Amino acid sequence: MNGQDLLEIMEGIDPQYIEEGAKKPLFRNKWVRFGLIAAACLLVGVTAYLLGRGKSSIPDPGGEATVAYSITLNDDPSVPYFPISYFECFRYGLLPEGADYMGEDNLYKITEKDIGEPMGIVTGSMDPSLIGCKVYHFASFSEYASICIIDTPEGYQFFEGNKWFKWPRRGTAFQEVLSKLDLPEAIERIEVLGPGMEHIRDLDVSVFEEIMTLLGRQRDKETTVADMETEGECILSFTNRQGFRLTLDYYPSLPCFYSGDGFYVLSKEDADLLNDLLKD
Amino acid sequence: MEDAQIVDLFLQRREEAITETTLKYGGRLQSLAFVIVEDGQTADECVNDTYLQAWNAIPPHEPRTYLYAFLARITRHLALNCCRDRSRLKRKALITSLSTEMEQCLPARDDGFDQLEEKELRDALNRFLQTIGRQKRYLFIRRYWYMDSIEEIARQCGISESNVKTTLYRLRTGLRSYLKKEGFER
Repeated sequence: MNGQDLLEIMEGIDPQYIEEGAKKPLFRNKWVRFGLIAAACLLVGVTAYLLGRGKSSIPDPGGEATVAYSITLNDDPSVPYFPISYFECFRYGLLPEGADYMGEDNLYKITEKDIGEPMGIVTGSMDPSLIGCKVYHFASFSEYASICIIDTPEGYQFFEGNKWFKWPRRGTAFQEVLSKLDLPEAIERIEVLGPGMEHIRDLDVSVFEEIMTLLGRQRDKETTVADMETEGECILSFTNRQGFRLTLDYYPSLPCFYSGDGFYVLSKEDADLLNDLLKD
Repeated sequence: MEDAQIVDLFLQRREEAITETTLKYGGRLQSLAFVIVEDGQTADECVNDTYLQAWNAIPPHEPRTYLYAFLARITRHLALNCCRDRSRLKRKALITSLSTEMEQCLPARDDGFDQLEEKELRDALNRFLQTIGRQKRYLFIRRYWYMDSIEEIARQCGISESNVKTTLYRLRTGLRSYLKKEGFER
């Protein structure tokens, strides 16, 4: 038995598949079933990491330390919301292009026209003054639940939601993270971002499954790569229809990923395949 | 005309069966044959032979619900046979390339598989195809049944060539694992 024999045996496959192959399926708008349980904890949101990284690079305009608490809403207490971060502001056009800090003088001022439909009220917060505050959609992104406006005692404030705040247990809970984000069905956008979260290019959402497959084939966590020099670093961003997104740091020169709980090394072959997918 | 009506014409031994089949599926069968043999005249011969074989095979077959698949299978078989004959002089690049790709699906090579009945392997193939999603199946079938080029599949599906290649690579390794799991191993 060789490859040609198998090619000929293909001849006898079920006629329904031959008929199916004669009709073109929808590729851009419809998703196939996603079977990537093995991708495990790789996709862990790097949000916390990015938040930390962002804070360290942004000058503090006030010179005073402040504490920001997360809040939860009555309609979905499992999703914590945090005061919006510097990096996320660019997604929603809340900071001028190229702004290198976030402060009262350059942050978008919320007015009544920005107040969208009600989302609920704050039911959980370490800051008692926020409990019971009304929460609204941001009118410019009314379909998104990832950003909201809270009517605080100090005035309106933007908060951003994070659906994957807790790292999944390695190798077991990845499916749970994906289902929280309704992925892959709800995938809306895949972007390649620069190290500073600047947009580089969009990818066709149909490559999501292939990317997940490659991530799922990583070797065991590797910590030594953390000190190595990298080249071509980028961030992969996966946004769902509600605006929630997962981000993942990719270091093609190593090649490995940073996924919140450590670095994960890819084989050369998988890295080459992934690099192909990430190209223009 | 509906497929069932065309099959009825075959069953009644009426020559309009061939005319209607040509009208409905002639172009697609010709394209299928041409992709494999890469020669217009040979492709035409394959299609004409397809009609003859269909005429002889219906009855006893009554492919009312899968007429195209029935005809396409004959065309593919004839076209591959043409290639095999011609490969005595020069092995055809497409078949060689596809055979090499399919080789990767086999968990064991050579005599280990010779003892296996083709039917078992075909059944396993069908079960594997059932387990993958429709879009993946489409890519697999277009490549290894219709023998389309990567470029053509990418164009048809509106996705990148690298995406097609990666998906096919995954499918081949997936099939290999599946066959291994099903006991197709030395």
